Amino acid sequence: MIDLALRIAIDRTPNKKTSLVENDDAELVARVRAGSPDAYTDLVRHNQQQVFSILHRYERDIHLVEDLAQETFTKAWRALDRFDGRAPFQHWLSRIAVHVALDHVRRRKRLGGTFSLAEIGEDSVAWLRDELPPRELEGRQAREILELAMQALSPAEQVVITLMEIEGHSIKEICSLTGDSSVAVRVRAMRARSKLRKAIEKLEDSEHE
Amino acid sequence: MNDKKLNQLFAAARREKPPTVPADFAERVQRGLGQAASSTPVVINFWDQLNRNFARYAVAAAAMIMLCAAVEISQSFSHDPSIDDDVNQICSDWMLH
Repeated sequence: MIDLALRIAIDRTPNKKTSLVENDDAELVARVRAGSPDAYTDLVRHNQQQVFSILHRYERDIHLVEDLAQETFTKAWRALDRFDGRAPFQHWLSRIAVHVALDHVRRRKRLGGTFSLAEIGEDSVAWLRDELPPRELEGRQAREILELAMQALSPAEQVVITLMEIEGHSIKEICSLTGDSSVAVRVRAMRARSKLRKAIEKLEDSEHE
Repeated sequence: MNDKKLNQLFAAARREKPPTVPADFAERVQRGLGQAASSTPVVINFWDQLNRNFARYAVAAAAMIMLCAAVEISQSFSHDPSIDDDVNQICSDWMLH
């Protein structure tokens, strides 16, 4: 009986926390709409870590991540009248952040900023060559290799594979975040995996030459 | 390249910690919004513009009417054939035929 009560208490804890945050955000949105200028600063403080967490998946330069986060909050502020409150504010803001990230990836691809094998660390190259004993790859090294390989992907494919494989979102969540259909998301994810596999094989071969 | 290696890459990328948010980030966003609001040009529609310049348009229209009236009066004194005379002539010719 005590076990059951304890389990119920543990199960309820995160939900309660989430709903408290949602209520706080809803209250802050209401205050912003009522004309309180400081309320938006509080709303930014509540959600800034989440926005940074999304955006740093697409950009390694911290200064650019800050610029993108600022763009996200500026867009959210301008579109606040269109926030209907049906979904939590955090989810609505995540959608804006994902679209800002997608625009950033498109811009980067259009400008043709390429990143070569020579620019990644020696430890990352050694992992690619299979010269290192099997060990856990560090996050920074994985990001370097993935960024290099993702240059072969379209911006939409980069966003879908990042949301699915790195952020761990479900197909349904990705559809909601990107506005794409589930078929489009599945096809993009499949193509992206295949292209990534080929791009990494190419990197391995180029290193062996 | 097998799937296992690709999955290892994804798993390692998942472990990477997000950057620390600068302490004054929220204030910077607020300042940026203030600057954007002050630098946004005010959009004026056609009716607002008409309302703003109504006095000027009214004076210009009155001046134009007075000019036309002055020309008409001066021509009536000089007995020169006017456009009215020409139109009357054409109408009478057409009626006779």
